[in-house]
Amino acid sequence: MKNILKQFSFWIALVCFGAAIALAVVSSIRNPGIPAIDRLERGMNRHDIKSIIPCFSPEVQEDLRAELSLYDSMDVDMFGELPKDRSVNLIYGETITDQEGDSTVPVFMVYMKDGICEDADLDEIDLVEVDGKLYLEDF
Amino acid sequence: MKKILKKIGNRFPIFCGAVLLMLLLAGCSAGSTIDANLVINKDLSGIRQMNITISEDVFQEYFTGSIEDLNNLIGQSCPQGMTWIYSEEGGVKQYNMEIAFSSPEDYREKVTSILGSEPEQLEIAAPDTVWASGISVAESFTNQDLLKWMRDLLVGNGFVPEDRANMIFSDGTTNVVYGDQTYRTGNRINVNEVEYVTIDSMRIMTQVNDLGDYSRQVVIQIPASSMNKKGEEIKAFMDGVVPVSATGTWEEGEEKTVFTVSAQQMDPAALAAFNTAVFVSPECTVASTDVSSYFSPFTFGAHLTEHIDLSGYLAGDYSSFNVSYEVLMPEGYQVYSSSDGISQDYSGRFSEESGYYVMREDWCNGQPMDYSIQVQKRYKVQELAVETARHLGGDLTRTSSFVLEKIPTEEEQQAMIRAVEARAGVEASEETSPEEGAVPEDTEVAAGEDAGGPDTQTPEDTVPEEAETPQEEEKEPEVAEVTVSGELVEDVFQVVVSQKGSPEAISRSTDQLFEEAGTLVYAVDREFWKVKKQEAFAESITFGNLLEHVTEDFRILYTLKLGMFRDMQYCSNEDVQMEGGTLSMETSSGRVSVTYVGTKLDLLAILFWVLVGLGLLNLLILLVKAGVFRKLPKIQVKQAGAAVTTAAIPEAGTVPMASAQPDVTATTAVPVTEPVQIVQPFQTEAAAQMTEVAVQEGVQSGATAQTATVIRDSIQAVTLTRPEGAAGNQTACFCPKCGTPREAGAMFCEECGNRFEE
Repeated sequence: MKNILKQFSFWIALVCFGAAIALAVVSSIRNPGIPAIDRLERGMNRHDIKSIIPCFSPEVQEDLRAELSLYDSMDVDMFGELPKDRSVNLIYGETITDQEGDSTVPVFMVYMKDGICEDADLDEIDLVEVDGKLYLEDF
Repeated sequence: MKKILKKIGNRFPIFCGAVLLMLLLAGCSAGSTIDANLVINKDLSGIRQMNITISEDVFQEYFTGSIEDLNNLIGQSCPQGMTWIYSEEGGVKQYNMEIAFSSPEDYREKVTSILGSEPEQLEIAAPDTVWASGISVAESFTNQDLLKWMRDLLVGNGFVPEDRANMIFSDGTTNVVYGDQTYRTGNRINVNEVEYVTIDSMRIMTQVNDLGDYSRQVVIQIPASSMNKKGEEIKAFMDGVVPVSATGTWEEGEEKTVFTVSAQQMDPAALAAFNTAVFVSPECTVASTDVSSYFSPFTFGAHLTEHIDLSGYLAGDYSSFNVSYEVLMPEGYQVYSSSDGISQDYSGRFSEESGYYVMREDWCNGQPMDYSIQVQKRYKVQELAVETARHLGGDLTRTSSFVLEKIPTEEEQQAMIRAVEARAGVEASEETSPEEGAVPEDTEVAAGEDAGGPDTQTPEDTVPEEAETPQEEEKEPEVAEVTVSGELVEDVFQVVVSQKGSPEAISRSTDQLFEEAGTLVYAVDREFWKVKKQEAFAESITFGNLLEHVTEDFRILYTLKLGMFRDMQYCSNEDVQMEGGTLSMETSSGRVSVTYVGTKLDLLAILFWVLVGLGLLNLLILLVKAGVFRKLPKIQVKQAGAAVTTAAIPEAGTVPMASAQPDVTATTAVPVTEPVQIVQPFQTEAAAQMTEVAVQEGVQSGATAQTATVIRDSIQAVTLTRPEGAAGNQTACFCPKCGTPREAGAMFCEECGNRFEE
């Protein structure tokens, strides 16, 4: 053990791993993700309507579940715009909170087909914070 | 003849009666005769003289009472405003009644007082201009109306019987005297002896040289009829109205004569003086107001108002002439008729003949003419270069360079920069602040310069505002750093606006500068571990009224600098070029709108993986040094009763073969941490010619202990014998250096070349 501690390589490795972890932590803090939007992206690409329900605020979730149970579908525009052979990347910028506490985040909806970007639209998604978590306010 | 005489004789009594009646009537209508003179002076003051003449016979016959009684009565009853003088000569009695007045208005007041009511008509005019000269008098009352009070007095006091009231006065002659002219008129004065000459038209033509610098021509067209009547007076008059700094020219023709008065390069004050002289009226005024703040920073404006009294060219109340107000402007200027100086009501009718724009045409009939125009001096934008760059920290810098078609003057350059700074809410620097007294006279600065944006910045214009006080509960919104400058590059002047800050801050400042926030968004994949991240950028800007006036070949050059190691996947504009992380495009529209999607190599992610790789590499080195991967050297062992065999030291971690008797061919291994120690000869019989292997305690391999036991057993089972014939000569059977079995009689090791000691 003492011999190991005397090894220069040990300390180099320790510093490198520490720096990598610090970099990861700092990057995550500076650019925190929004899990709701990430989940929305996954759900859209899987064309799984049910999986995107948790993305919305609890209040909206109830309405969506009710609509789904009634009509077996939901009126969510974003699905109508995404053909089966396409995928979408949701790239979002900084969240903007106004003086009234309402938050919006600009989101680029990048439509990919076979790895090629075919179109991109910029939209704004309203967010609402419930119990410390961010949800999509509406669709 | 006899029949005629007979007829006359039969009617003679009738005839005599008629003659007598006529005589009687004649005697009755000529009770007194009124002769009047209305004398009017040049200044329209004057006197109305009414002479009442009564002969002695008439007086005795028609008047009862004495003349003294009558005079006393008249003296008591004469109305205010009228004076009277009695005279008598040769039996003829005369009353001279006078109404003196200082002005036609005074005359009217006195007549009203005498009559007891305002007369329907009482006009006195005596124009004395080149266009109208003479006298004009019109009255709706007579001398008898003015002396009615006397008639009533005579009848009322019994001087004259009532049935003879109408016979008291009879009208004599009435004259109007003006200067040396006497005009006979009737009982009701009506004299119109005014001679008129007129002009056909007047063109007030203004040439704009610059804001506050005007040239003017007044073109007066005079008909031949007027020139024929009073040509010399007209010429003398016209030549007299030309100011010292102006020129007058005549152009004579058969049907008309044109007189033109011209003056060059006048400021508003000089223009006012010109108007006063040419239009022969002190009522003419000119005012100029700076209204530049209502326009684009690249447009300067002035509101010019003129009040022009043209009555000096009118021949009378019922005369009129056509007057037009025309403007000529050089390239880069625009003129509008504007009631308030800000609105643009009418741009005028272009006249092919003169090249002027006719702003207004009227008939002048005596009322003053008010003209109000807005003059704009426009600097068109020829090119706009927009460069947006993203920095490592996430901030953006947008530089907008407005290249103007023409180079403004230095004052205008500074004014442009100040105007843009005012929009951005930037406090003007000392360099761009106007000097004291630089503002010309008669110029007012229009309201609305302060855009009301965020708080002002430091004079250096580069330091963003800091939080006001620590006690501020609400956080002030972030303000972008805005700098405005003017640059003269290769005979081209450009105004450069630089905005630096976060996208939200830049959007806020854009809203102030260009009246619309536009769009400025940057987004990138959030997974930090991705080396190749997908990024997106969207920007749209309109530039408000800064691009209100552009050249025909105007274009916007847009550049987006994202950084190195970029690869474009999508762009909303087809005609874009991407090179070295810089996207560029060109458009002729007045706005920029671009959406970009691409990939980038994230240096931080690369650094992350490099650190991880370095760490793993060093870890591997560490393990290697610890001997985890080391290969065991081969050892030769001779077992009792068996031939010398070579056994390799088992590799670390390998499980030795467990057997009762060591297999001569079995390979056993132990991890070696210390160099193999050569057992010195004669130390032990079992150890001679054998490699003793030290077994490390706590060896990593789980089978090592067992391996060590096997080795130990192997060693113990081995009986080392001396080579025959070598009594007392215990020679080593292995190379002390590398452990290679030594051949009998060999002097050197075949493996490492070591020399064996005897």
